[in-house]
Amino acid sequence: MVEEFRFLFYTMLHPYNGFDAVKYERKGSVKTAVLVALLFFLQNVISAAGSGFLFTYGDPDKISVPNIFIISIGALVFWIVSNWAVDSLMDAEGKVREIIIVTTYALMPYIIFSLANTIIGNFATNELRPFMNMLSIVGMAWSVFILFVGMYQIHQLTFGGTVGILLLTVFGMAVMIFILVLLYSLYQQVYIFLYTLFSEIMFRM
Amino acid sequence: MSKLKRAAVLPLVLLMLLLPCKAVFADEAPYRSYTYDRFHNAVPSPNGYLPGAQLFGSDLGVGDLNNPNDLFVDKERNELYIVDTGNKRIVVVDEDYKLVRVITEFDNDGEVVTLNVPIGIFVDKDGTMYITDQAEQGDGRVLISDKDLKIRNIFGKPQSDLITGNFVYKPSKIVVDRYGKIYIQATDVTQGLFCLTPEGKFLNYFGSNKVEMDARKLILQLWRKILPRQAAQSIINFIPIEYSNVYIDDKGFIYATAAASTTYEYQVMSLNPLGSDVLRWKRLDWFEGSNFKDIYVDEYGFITAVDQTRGKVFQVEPDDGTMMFTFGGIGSMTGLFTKPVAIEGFNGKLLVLDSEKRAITEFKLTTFGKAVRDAQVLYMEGRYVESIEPWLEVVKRNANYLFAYVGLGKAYYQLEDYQTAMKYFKLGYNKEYYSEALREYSLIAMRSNFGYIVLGIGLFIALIIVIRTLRRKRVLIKLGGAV
Repeated sequence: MVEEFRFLFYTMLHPYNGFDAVKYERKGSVKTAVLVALLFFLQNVISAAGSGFLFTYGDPDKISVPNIFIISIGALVFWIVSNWAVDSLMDAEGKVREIIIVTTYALMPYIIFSLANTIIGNFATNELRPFMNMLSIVGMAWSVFILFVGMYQIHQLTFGGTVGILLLTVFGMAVMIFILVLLYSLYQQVYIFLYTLFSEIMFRM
Repeated sequence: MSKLKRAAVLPLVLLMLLLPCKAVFADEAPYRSYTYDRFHNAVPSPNGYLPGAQLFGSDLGVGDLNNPNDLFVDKERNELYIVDTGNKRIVVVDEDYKLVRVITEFDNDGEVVTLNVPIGIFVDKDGTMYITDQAEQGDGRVLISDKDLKIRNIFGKPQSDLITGNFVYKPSKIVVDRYGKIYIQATDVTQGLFCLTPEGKFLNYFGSNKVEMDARKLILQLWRKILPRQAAQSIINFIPIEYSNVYIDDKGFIYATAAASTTYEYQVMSLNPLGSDVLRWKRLDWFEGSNFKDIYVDEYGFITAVDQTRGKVFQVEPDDGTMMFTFGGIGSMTGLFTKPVAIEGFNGKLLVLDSEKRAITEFKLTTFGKAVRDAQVLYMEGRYVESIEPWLEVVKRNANYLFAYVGLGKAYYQLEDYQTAMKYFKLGYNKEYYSEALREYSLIAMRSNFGYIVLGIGLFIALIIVIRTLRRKRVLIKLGGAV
C-alpha cells in the first residue's frame, strides 16, 4: 500500500516514466485510483464548506454533499467512459485499467493545491487573493499536464493525436450527457403514454 | 360570588379564549420597508418612516394645487416653497403650514412680469429667488428676483457655440452655489447641467454623464467602424443619460439624479467642483428598476431619493450607499403616491410632493428609524463607543439588519477590538471590512505570539535534522550488514 502511494507521488513528479510503468510494468492499481477519486470528492466538500468566510462564495447553507458527489465522481466516470470509447474508436492502445489510473492519478496536484488553498483561506486576508488564485492555477495546470502526458503514454499516440483524443473525449462527454437527457425525457414520454393507455382502457371497461 | 354570576362568567371566559388573538398596530403604514440580505434578496424590515399628514392645497388655504412640480425649503427663514405649475404661482408656507404668501407676479422696473410654466425654484441665503420658467412654446427663461419680488435679472437661452440654434431651452431645476454660479438642469439636455455665471453667461456644461455601454451598443459601435460612412450615419447615436434633478446641500456639494438609465449603473451622483461623480455608486441593489426623480440630502449627509417608477423613496447612508429604509409605493392611500415629483426635508420630517395627487405627504421617523440614524450619526461623528448602544438597539428590533452589524463592526474596528469587529462584519456579510479587521487581528496575534512562532519553526527544523541523521544511521547499519 505504502509502495503504491509512493508510486502515486512518483507519477506526479515523473509523469513520463510513471505512466510508462503503468502501461508496461502494470504499476499502480485501480484500488488506489478509487481512493484518489474519493479524495477528490472529499476535497471538493472541504473546499465548499471550509474555505473560510472570505473565500466562500454562495450560500453555505445550501451546500449539498450528494450533489458534490454526483458532480465530482460523475464527471470522472463520464470522462473515463468517454475516453475509453474514443480510444476504442481511434484504435489507440489504452486499456480501461490504464485510463482509470491515469485520470485519477492526474488529479493529485489539483487536490493538493486546492487543499492548501482551503487551509490558507482560513487565515488569509483579501491581499492574499492573487497568490491563492495563482496556487489554484498552478495546481490545475500541473494536473492537466500530467493528464496529457499520461494519455500520451498509455494510448501511444503522437502529440497531435493526444490533443485530438482529449478534445474528442470532451465532445464525447457532451454527447453522452445529451443522450442521457434525451433518454430521460423519452422515458417520461413513454411513461405518460403507457399511463394514458392504461387510463383509457380503464375508462372503457 | 353567586352561582348565577359564576354561570355567566365561565362561558364568557371560554368565548374569550376562542376569539382569535390579533395584534393591532396603531400606526401601520400601507407599505412595508425592507432591506437586502447577503444574497441581495429583499427581506422585510421595520418601517423607518411612517406617513403623517397629507396636505392638499385647501389645507394650506390656497385652493387646489394644479400639477405642482417642486418643493424648496428655505432654511434661513424656515419656509416651504411650493411651485404650483398649473396655477402659475408659487406658494410659500411656514413651519405650521400656514400661508405666508402667494407669488404670482414680479415687478421689473414698473413692468409686471407673470409666470408662464414655473418648474423649479431655488432661494439663496438672502432670500433671492431663482425660478425656472418654461414657456408653453419655445424657449424658457430663468427669473431672478429679490425677496420683495423686484426682478434682478431675466435670462433666456444661454448663448454659446456649444448650443445649436434649433435646440428648445426648457430649464427645469436650478441650484446656485455659494459663489453665485448657477446650475440648471434642463429637459432633453444630455451633455450635463448648464453652468452659468451670476449674470447669466454660459460657462460650460457641468458634470456630463458617461454613455452607458452594453453588449448591443458595443456591437453597433463596431459596425459603425466597419461600415462605409453613409451607412454608418444611419446607426443611432449613443447619448449619455440626462439628469432628472439637481440638489445642493448645506456644504455646497451638488447632488444629481439620472433619469431613464437602462443598465442601472449610475443613478445617484454627487458632483465635485470639476463635475465628476465622487460617490461612484455603481449598480446598488436599490438602483434596479428605479427611475429617480428627486434627491434630498440632509444635514448629516443621509441621501433620500424618490423613484417615480414604483413610487418608492429610499434613504441611504452616505459611505457605501447601503439602503437604510424604503417607503412609499404606487397607490392612493396616504403614504403612497401616484406621481411623486419632489422631496424635501422640513423640520426633521420628509415631505414628498405628488403632482397627480396634488398633495404633499409628511413622513415622520419611527423609533426604529431614529435608532438607526442616531447610531450612524454617532459613528460618523467619531463617537464609536457611544454608537454601540444604539446599534445593539437596532439589532434587537431587526436581527436581519445587516447595516447595523456592519456599523457595530466599524465601531469595534475603530476601538481596535478586531476580534469583535470580525464577528460583526461576518454577521453583516461584508467581506471587504472583514478582511481589513482580519489583517489587523492577525498582525497583533503574530506580534504577541512571535516567540512561540520562532520556537515552532526551530523545533520543526530540529525534527527534520533528527530524522535525517536517524535515516543516515539506518542506511549505515544496512550497509554494515551487507558488508
